[in-house]
Amino acid sequence: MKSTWNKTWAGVLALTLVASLTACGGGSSSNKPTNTGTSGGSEAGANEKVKLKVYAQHFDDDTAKPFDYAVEELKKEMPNVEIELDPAVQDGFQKLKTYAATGNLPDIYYTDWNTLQTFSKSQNVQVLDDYDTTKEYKANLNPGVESRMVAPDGHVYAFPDTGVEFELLYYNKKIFQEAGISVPIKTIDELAEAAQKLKAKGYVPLSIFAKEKWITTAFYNAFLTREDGIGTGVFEKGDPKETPQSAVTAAEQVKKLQQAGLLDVNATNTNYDQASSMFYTGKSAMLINGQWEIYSAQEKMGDNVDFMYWPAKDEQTYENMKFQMNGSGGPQGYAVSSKSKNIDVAVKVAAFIAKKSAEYKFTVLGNPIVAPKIDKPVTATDIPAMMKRLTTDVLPNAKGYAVAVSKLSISTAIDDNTQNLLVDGFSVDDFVKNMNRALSK
Amino acid sequence: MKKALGVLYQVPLWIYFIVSVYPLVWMISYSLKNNDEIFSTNPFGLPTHFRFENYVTAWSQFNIPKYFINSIVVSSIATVFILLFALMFAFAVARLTWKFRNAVRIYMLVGMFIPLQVIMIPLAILVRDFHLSNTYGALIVPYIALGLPFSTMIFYGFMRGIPTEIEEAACMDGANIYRMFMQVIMPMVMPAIATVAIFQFLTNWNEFTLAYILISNEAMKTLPLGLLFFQGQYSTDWGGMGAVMTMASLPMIIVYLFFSEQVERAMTVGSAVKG
Amino acid sequence: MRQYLGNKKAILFFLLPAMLIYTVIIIYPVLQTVYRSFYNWDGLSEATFNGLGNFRDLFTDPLLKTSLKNGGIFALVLVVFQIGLGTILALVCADVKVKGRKLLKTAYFIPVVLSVTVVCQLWIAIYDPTNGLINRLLQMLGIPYQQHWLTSPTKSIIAIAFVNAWQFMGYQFALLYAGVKSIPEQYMEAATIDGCSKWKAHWKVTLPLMKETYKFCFTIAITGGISAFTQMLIMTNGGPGTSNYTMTFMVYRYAFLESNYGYACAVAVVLVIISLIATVVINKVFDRNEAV
Repeated sequence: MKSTWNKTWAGVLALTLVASLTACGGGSSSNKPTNTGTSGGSEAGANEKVKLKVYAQHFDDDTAKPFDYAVEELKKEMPNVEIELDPAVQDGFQKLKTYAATGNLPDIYYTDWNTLQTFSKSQNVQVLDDYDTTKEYKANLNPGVESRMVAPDGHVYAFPDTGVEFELLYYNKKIFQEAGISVPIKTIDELAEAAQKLKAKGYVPLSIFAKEKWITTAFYNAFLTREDGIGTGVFEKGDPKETPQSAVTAAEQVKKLQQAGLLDVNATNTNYDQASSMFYTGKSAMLINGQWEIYSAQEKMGDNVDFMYWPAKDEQTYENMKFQMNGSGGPQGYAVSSKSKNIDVAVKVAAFIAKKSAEYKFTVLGNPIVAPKIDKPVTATDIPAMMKRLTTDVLPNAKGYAVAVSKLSISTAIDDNTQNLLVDGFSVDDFVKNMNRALSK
Repeated sequence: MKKALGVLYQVPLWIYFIVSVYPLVWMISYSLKNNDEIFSTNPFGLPTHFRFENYVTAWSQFNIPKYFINSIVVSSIATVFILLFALMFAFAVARLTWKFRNAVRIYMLVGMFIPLQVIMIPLAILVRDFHLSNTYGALIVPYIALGLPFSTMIFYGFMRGIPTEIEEAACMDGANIYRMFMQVIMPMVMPAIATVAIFQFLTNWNEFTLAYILISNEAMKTLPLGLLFFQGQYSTDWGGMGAVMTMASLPMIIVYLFFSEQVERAMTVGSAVKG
Repeated sequence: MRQYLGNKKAILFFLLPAMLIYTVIIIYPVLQTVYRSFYNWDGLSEATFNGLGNFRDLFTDPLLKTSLKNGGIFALVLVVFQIGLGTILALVCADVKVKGRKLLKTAYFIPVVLSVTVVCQLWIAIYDPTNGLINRLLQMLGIPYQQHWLTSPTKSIIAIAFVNAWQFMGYQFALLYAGVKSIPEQYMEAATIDGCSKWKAHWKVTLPLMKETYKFCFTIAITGGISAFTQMLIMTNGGPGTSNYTMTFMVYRYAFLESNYGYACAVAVVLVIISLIATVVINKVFDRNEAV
């Protein structure tokens, strides 16, 4: 009796396996969802409990609070869905890749374009193009942030929560006054001159946490975007085999500033905590970081801090390009595993979480850098002045954003060599030579 | 005069003593400072204001006793098996006579040189296929395997140094080979066993990368993973990390202090047997 | 006797546990690494066969030259500092006449017990160009040799190697000490009776008897130097640029930063081969010395 029972089960199991194998055989071309969303029929199982595993950034207030808010909202909206959180830390998505390799991908995961590229090639991520949820989400994006959602290959892989972030040049008003430097600084020459004045007064002109390479790229990109709005995108536009002229010019500008003593001698071994502490304790006059620094800058320095637009080779270029943002939006956000058992629900939940965490950032924190338009009012009362300036002056005038580099070998080469530029003995020629080698590969 | 000279020649020893002990003091004071003190205002001195809150934060961030127990379980079980298997292997290669023993020894060496980064993903797949995911086995089994090359090499070196007469004598006495291993060879390599035990336990205790990649279950996490709780999105709480590291290292130092006594005794016994 | 030591069953019994677990957990992934080194592969998608292409690229990769040079420097610093100082300290601590030797012995091992992260943070502070202990000390002594220790593309590798050498000196010291201790005291007594000074007796008697220990110490110092990684990752993140790269750092970069897994595997294969060659050479050198 028992053995026949087992055999029957084995038979059923074998059949389901075959069925699922043939289903897989259809391959990536059949990404089209079988049920197209809103019609009543697909909601038949709405009362069934669905458990979804979500791998999301969740390690400090900045990351945990928006997520937790979104999950609370989800309970009201889709009470049948239960979220199991697997908290992610910043590890370059190493662990997520291991999950993919071992077939353990969570239903929903938060990741960036680098990972999405490999996941799309290996069919670990659900292509979202044809879902109604996607169309709705896309229709509701803030202007200028399409690149956060639609990948360079034309597909949608993830629902973005943040908008396109960008790096600003923060400065200490008192120190500038004391050193007799008038703002805004419009040209590279003025910046170099200011550096010398600040140094003479015993300040570190600009603190940069150049131990992290992305910030050296951002620093370089600040000047490159003045020359060409797409920034480091010039290294990929039209597949150049040699470093484009605009990129050489920007390298020369960075070198010039480095030689003028703009940066601390220990810059390439300075971490964020050191660099920001230098700026906040009044040891350095300027700081470069993303717009997210506004909150702590205002908290630590009150009215004594502001940001300026990036200087360019001459005033004309400065005026033309000042609203060209030094930041690029690669696709990033909540993606859905193609291996999930509840893909359709997961797609809706992913979009919902993305939207609601954006809502939290916008309403509670007063942060305008979010991907979807939020129609709820801002409830935050103590929005930093710089944040207001962003909302009223900058974002409405923003002319465009840089273009992200897709090819990893090129982006790592840019990271390495922009860091190199900040060190004595590394010349612009070396920069060009190294970049040419990376480009010719 | 000669005595004074003798003292003089000991001065460098004590200077190096300070150089070796200072980091311990530094770590403890580091764990009682905040970021500003650590990086700019007071990087080297004792804390002027003892920030015990770093420990309180650490304690509240994650389940320290749980992580601690996990670390002890994983490190000690792995160490025991490393010692046992490595001793047996080294004995077969160093003392027994057979054809391919040199080839097998080189085979065992390869594992010492392979970077963990490339075998991590195949390893994670193996762990899954053996159904070890989210069990202590997920760490214990790889730790044993990773500890073997190094340990067998040390034991091999020590066992090669034992004169062959010893075996001949044991053979004459009619001891079989297993008894010889247990009662003659093992006691003679006691100093090496003690040393390897400390090394391997420390290595397992401090291991981070594999533990991070292979363990997702909160109930199985080991102490080094506690460091992750202090890394913010933009900023890092270095003092808090210092507190975790101090809590992880101090017991090790106490264990070591206790153990080094045993090692010393083992060594004297070892050389007495040999003489 | 031969038969006694050639007992097939016993050999199998002693070898099997270690061989089994090691083969499955380490060698199987290593074989996969070797296999993957002939492919273009991102770690997840389907791989395409690339023959020796990865190796051909590797031998023209400027990072390989940097890595080999850094590995060599690292190994040299480890050998000189760890084995040199380790030997002297081991001999001294084994000398019963030295007062407080138990305390010294314990202290010398303490840096090993600390986690690499703590030690690296300490040295980052010590190497700081303005507030760091070293530059301040040099300033106090009036020596105009202030350096940017960790941001100089040429000096930083030595500075980092020194940190590793210093932290793990205790390791080598413990091994050497165990080695010295396992030499029967009669040998030394005999030598000193023959009228040798203490140090000369060590040179003539103790050190040659510790051949196996030294073989091992050199092997871990040299191969450890070639494949060093963690200290660079923490202290300089391989920079400025790529000036602090070692082969393991290359593996890390290609596997995780560039998702070029096949190529990373090729680097790993070359790394293992180089380490094996180094081990064989060390063994040969020591065995030849014996013949002399």
